[in-house]
Amino acid sequence: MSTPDTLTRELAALDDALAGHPVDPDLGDLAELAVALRDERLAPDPAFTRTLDSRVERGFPRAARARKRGIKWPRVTLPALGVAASVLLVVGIAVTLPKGGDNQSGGGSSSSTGASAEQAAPPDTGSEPSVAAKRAPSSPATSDSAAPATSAPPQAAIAPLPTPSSPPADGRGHRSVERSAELVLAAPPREIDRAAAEILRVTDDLGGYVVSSTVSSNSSGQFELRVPERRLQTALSRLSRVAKVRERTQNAQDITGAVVSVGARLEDARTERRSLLRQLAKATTTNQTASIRARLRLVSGEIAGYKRDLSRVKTRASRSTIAVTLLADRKAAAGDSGGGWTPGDALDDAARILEVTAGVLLVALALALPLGLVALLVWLAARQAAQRRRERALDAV
Amino acid sequence: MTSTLTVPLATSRARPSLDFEALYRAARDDVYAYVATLLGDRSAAEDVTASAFERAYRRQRTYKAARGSERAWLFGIARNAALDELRRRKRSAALAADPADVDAAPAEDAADAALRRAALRTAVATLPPRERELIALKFHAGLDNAELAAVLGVSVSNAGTLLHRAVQKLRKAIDEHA
Repeated sequence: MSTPDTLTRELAALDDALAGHPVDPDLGDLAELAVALRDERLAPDPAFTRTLDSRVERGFPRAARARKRGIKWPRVTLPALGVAASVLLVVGIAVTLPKGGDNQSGGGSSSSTGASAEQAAPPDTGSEPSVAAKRAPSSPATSDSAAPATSAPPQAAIAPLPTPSSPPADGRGHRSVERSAELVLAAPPREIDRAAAEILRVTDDLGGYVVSSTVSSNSSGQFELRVPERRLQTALSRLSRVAKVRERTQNAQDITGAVVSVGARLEDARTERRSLLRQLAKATTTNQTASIRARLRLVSGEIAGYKRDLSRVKTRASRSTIAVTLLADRKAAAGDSGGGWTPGDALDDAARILEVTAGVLLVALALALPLGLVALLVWLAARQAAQRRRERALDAV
Repeated sequence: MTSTLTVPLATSRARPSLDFEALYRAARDDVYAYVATLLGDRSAAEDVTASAFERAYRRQRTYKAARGSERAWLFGIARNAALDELRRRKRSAALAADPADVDAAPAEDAADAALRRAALRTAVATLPPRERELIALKFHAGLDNAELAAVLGVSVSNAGTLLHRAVQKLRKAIDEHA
């Protein structure tokens, strides 16, 4: 068993002997062995060395030819892979993006809203399906009655609310329902006046009237319309074609109770007047006559008031109110100008593409990172296994 | 006699990370001697040596000076090529079976010197392959202990210990065959 000192000394003696340096006499045989071993090394055949020199000088051309004899795979470089990946990415994005260059898409509303907007607008208006989708209803309808209140997309025009003629649950005959709607329309600035005129014309055509209207030329407009209740859906449908629908809200309020109440008070007043008239006929003194006449005047006044109330209530049921807000839409102007794709649209599209690209890259990274890690581990394991197999070959010799 | 060898770069774009020509010139015979001792077959040693240099030529850009000397890197490649050849052939490498280098034996060799050489060859051939490889790397390829350690993937002190053990075994084998 050699001590560490002996080992170090003998190793040094081997190196010294190989280097031609003198070695301690007691290690002479070791030095002789080292030199003898060095002298025993096999020298390559000169013909082989000439051939190898030539191959080296020519950059191992035979190996290159051998590779060409096999399947000729295209040489794929990293930049080429990058370009290919980018092209695939862009194609993928182009396929997934909505068609038509709609620069107003991607709003926060539900898809049904967008679809219904498309249905509400005729195909020839160039109305974009995603316009309504972009703007979610911002002011949901409210109703203080038990009747249904809807913040409905334009599709509600096709599926109208229950009609007043629907039989009531308690079987008391007709129910009176007050209906109203709000429309927010967007038109190019230069189309505002035309749209305002169209709104008035539709109202007139349907037998309605304008309660109030305010139009700022090329800027905006506000309208309060009344149309016969039975033509409300038609009116909404036609008004929706005037410009792009940004928002549409419908309300329905059951006012049967109010009608019945006013009617009952009117009937009571009439009954009282008839009674007073009978008393007047039977009156014998001047005082009695004067007193009854005074009460008759009061009752007649009440009757007139109740009649007005009843008429007002019935009008609420028979006439629907439509509040129309007309807005100037610069993007729509660009879309309707016939120019189609503008630099602004291009910027929007570019931003959108970058956004989607970043998202795709993020997802790809999230996938590639663990996969790459696994691949790296597999590669390392395979490399180690290959080396172990090599070492085993040495053991098996 | 001196000769100039002009070695083309593996790729025109790549900056050479090592002087392949100089390395080839310095290590060609050493690589051959190592592989021939390990394989015990001169013909196979020529193929493996050529293959090793071709691999090194193709991979010269992968050489990192921080990982070791150029010679250690080259002998690592040569070792893998030789082990691949051993695996492929699935047969033992018997140095004793290899014909003697007739040209290397001068006519005036004394008989006892010839006997000593024969005993030495036989002793080397009887060593286990790992020890024989150590002898080949140290005495035939001329690697120092640090290079030896880098090729075998062990520490320098461990390489020294292994080498010392191999020499001891060789001395014992020589005594037995003397």
